[in-house]
Amino acid sequence: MKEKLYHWIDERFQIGNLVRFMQHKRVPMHGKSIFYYFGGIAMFFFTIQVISGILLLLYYKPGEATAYESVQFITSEVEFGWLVRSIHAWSANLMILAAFIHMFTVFFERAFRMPRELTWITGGILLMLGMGFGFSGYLLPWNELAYFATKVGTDIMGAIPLIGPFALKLLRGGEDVTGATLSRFFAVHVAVMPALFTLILSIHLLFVQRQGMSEPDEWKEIKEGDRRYMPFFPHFMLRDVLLWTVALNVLALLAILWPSELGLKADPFASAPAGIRPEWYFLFMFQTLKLIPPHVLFMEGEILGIVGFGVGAAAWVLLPLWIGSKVKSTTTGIIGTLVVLYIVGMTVWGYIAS
Amino acid sequence: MERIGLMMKKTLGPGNVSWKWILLAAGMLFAAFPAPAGAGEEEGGGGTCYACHLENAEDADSPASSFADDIHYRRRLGCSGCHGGDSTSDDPDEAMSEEAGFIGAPDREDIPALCGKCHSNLEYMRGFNPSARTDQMEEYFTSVHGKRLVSGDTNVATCADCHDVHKIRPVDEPKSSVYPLNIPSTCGKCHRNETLMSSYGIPSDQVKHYTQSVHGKALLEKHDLSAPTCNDCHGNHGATPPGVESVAYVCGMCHATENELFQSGPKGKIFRDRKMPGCVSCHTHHEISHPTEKMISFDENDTEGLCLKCHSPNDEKPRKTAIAMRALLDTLTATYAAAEAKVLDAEQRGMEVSGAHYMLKDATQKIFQSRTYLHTFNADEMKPHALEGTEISKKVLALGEKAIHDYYYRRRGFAISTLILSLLAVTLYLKIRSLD
Repeated sequence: MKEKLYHWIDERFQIGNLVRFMQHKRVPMHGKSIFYYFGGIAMFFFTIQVISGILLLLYYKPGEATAYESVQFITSEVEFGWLVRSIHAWSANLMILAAFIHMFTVFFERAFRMPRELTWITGGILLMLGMGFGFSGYLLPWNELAYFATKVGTDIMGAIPLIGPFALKLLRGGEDVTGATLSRFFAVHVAVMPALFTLILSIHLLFVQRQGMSEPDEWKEIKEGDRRYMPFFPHFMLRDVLLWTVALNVLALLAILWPSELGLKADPFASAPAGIRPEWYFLFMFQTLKLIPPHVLFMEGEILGIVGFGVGAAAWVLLPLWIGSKVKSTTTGIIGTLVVLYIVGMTVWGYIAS
Repeated sequence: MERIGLMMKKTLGPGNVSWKWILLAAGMLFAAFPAPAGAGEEEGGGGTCYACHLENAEDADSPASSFADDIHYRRRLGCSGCHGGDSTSDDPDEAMSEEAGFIGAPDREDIPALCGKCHSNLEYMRGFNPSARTDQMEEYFTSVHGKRLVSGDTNVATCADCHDVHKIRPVDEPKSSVYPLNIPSTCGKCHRNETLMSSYGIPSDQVKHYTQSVHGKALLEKHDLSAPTCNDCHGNHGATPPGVESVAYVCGMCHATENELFQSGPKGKIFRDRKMPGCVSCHTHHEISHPTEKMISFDENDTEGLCLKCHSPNDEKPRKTAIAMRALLDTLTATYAAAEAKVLDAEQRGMEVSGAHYMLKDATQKIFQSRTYLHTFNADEMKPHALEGTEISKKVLALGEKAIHDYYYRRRGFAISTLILSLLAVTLYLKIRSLD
């Protein structure tokens, strides 16, 4: 029966090649193999985001007069609605965290070098899209915190030189954060971003599958026969599933013990509540902008910061194009450590300061 | 004109009833003046008087030093408007000469008419404020203060005692002595003075009592400007203690529904017939505390109960009514308290209970209504409101209990899911080991 079904599919879609590819695909085994799994974990959380997001869509009603009320309804009335919402919020955070870990391990292993330049670049774009997902989704409950965090966030974008005022209007759908902003954030969050993300994720995965896992530099000095590999299927796949099970358990723990709060409905005429701060993955930038003096040389401090982050992000994503394949591991080690220390330090500072 | 009034008063002597009318008439005559002297004649409202007196001022409280804060100065109204004289002359002798109409510091008994010279002149006052009132002086002479002043008692408050002398600010300025928050201390300047008040045979603890009252706390601690202060019950320019029969109407200005229910109920008629004060019989006047259900009690051992102040413990019908109303309110407030505690408990556990909070507001409203309908002194009229509030509270309590139940249900669910996931993880681990 199983064989019949296989032949039936194979006759139509020629999946034999794919199965043979899967059977022959190998994953290097070494001391840092654990880091191979973080990309898969990020993808697992993305899958959860898609499923929980679709479930939320069944009840969520965008609009100034209905968004908050519908989320309130989801949280208090819909069976397990609170759980779905909580999972969606926690999974978003865990996805970004896993993506950050994935990115830095790739960086420290210098796996961005030839021939994986485009894999790195698509990965960088995916991380930015993920952060955009977070930013656009944060406003959707239309509560007080979301409203003012979006106001502050879009204000920062409005300060971008040349395109700032246009970007601000484009994002907000007008001068202020209103129902129009909510509508476009919703459209971007549930239609534009998922489509873009899925497309780029597919390309990223295609590259990974085509090129295989990057092998550590130390392996160059090891004879080919002494190198250890495991078959992708089922060995690596099972390990992936094992880690996804653990990740799911962690997610359930967070979602149940610390469910997402809703707070008060957004009131544009109310004064901003104390301690407004963005999601943790934007906090290092937010804290930096707070620390930059109003004027630095001939530039406004805020503009300098925004331009700096723009240039920094572009340089980071396009890293393989300018750093070269012969970059020493000490150089990447120093750069990576400084960047991680800066991000972690500023994030912690941001939490303490607020 | 003040001098004429003063001469007439000195001739006729205090205590003459016609004095009030003479002073009032004098004020009216002043009011008829087209433009009071000193009005708008000096830049910045001071002229040479101000310049010279400021230069020779001994301290910050001297008249000239404090006059810069005065509303008259700010409206360019100078010294000569009240004191007479010529504020354009540099020569002090000429400026403060009798020929120039200088009167110096006016006598206390002349102050109302002096102020009324402008403040009772509608045409003149309109120039500053189209909706300005001009009946203050007329009102003042109907007050206890005004009447006593007319009878020759110069210890009573006149305009300057409440509004200050040279530092007069509009009532809506927080620094003004007559700004609502400052009224108790302004009235207290005299009414807290035991020696002064004992000479009139009236107590001097009203301000102290008011400060401790629900109204005083609302105004002075919470800065709630809607809370009544002295003049809201006693009037300001026409300050008079409300008579026994008018007490209910004074309280009813704010507590309209309570007053209406009380007046239309059985108690209202009894109180009116016996000329008993309404509200203050139970709530007192200056020391009004936050009312509670405990005030309704026929129990002799109950120190907070008030019914026995008038009733005998054997008054069967009132006793039954009181017991019935107290039971309804006790049930309502106890159910509400239980519901509120449960909802807060659920909220602290991170449960979403905004719907329950919303319903609690309805229940609070019913408590207010029931307490209001208490003033009918008819248990049947209060009952529907109290029962409705109790029902809402019970529903909220059920919602709170469900939220707490859900809280534990989620934890149990988590324990089960963790167990299943852990089993799955162990199975996968064993499978991986077997493959390796």
